[in-house]
Amino acid sequence: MAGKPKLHYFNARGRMEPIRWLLAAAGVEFEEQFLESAEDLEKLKNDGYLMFQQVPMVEIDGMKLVQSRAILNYIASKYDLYGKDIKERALIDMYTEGMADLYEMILLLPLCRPEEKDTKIALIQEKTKNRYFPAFEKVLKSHEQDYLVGNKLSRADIQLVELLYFVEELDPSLISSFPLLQALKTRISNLPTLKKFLQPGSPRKPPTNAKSVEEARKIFKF
Amino acid sequence: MTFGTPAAFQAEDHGDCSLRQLKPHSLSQAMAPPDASKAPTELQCRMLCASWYFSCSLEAHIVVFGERVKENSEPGIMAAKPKLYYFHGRGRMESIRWLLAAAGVEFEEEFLETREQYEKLQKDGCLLFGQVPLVEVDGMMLTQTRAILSYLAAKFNFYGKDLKERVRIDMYVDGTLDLMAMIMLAPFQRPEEKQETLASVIQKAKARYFPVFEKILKDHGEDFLVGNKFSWADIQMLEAILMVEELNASVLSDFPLLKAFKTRISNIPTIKKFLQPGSQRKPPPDAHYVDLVSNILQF
Repeated sequence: MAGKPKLHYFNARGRMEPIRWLLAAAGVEFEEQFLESAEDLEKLKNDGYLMFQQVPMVEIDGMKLVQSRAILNYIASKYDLYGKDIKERALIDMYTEGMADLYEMILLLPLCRPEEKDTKIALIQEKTKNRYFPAFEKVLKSHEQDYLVGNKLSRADIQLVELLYFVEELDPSLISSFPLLQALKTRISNLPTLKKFLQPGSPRKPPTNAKSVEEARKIFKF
Repeated sequence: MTFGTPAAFQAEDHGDCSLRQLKPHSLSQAMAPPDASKAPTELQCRMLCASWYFSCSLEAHIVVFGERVKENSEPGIMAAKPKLYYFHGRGRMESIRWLLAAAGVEFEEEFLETREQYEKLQKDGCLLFGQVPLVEVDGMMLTQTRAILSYLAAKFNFYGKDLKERVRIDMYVDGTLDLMAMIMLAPFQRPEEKQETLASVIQKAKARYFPVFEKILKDHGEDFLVGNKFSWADIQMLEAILMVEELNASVLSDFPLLKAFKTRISNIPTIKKFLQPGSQRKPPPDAHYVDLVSNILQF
């Protein structure tokens, strides 16, 4: 019998969180093995489990997958969240790559120097309001459907809604002039699997705090 | 290799939107310096982009360009070449050029030389996130490098035969692209940082990336990285090897299988052609390129 996917990462959002969202949205139960020390990471490396010596790593279907994009692509395909043909997939990829760019800026915020923080936050706010949110609002407006691509739930919707929550934690006012994004957020949040994931007690991880950053520095030695 | 879709279909759905990219262009035209009179008019681009975004419904739009349309169903309509919009240099577009070249597909290029050209593309709504690379292909205005690469890889059957092969290709490509991203970044850094980055590239190539691929080749003893068949993973790997060798010519000295791989893949006819002078392969970035890009992107 196939086991559950097993996620290897430390106990924080980081680069594993979008993978947790996608599995959760697909209704797939998964296990997590948390790295708690530099030794835990060394062990994974020494056991040859990490192709490029990096996490995230996901054990799934007899494979040890690394590289978040490869993992997300695999899960999306497996659970039919990747469009119906290569053209829909191209649109989904284009949208999710844009999302990943904004996500990365917010993800790295806790790691920047204190004196740079305000500038970086301002940049994120500017890009969110002028580049990313308008793009997705325009896509939704162009077809007036419930989902970004192909009138069907795909990873693009799930990843966008994760991003919307992420941005909201930084600055809740940013979404205020984007009614279709707000509606999408509500709609997707009400899908039974995601509704469950958004409740306390789920594998969803809390916002990154200073303690998480310290833990990461310790484990990954930077 | 056919591209594009019958113009009649598009005209039917999008009024008189003249979809310029469906007209055949000669390769010599593509190689000539950009000519303002041949550049898309603002109206054409706006209509093209408007049609892409605001057509009856996006789903119908996909259907028009996807299943309902049979390739070559309109006699006399020549397949359109993909068109690349970027600076005249490698940057993020080079991997896309490699993939197209490997597939033996002719493509056109429009080179951004001024801030005004770039702003025009942005204003015309062609750039979903206001950024290049942009590739016009099969009726789509695709941006985001990986989206473009994945689409082309699937289209040219360079993406494995099933999901398990595809995930291996994705892992290998993602690792390789991580290495290449560092090389891409270096010219834009201050001299001290640049030296550090380049040293790190060589160190990571030798300690983290090349050993992985040497082992993959050793373990299966096949000619190609995945599925005993030429794929995107092989193309990306060769591009990366050549880029790292430009920084340090002896970097493959401890990797005999990668050396043989490099020779083998370089001799594939389409790749061999691309590696010859006069192809659309771009040279390594120089100071002029760095200035041009910094000015156009304003950083």
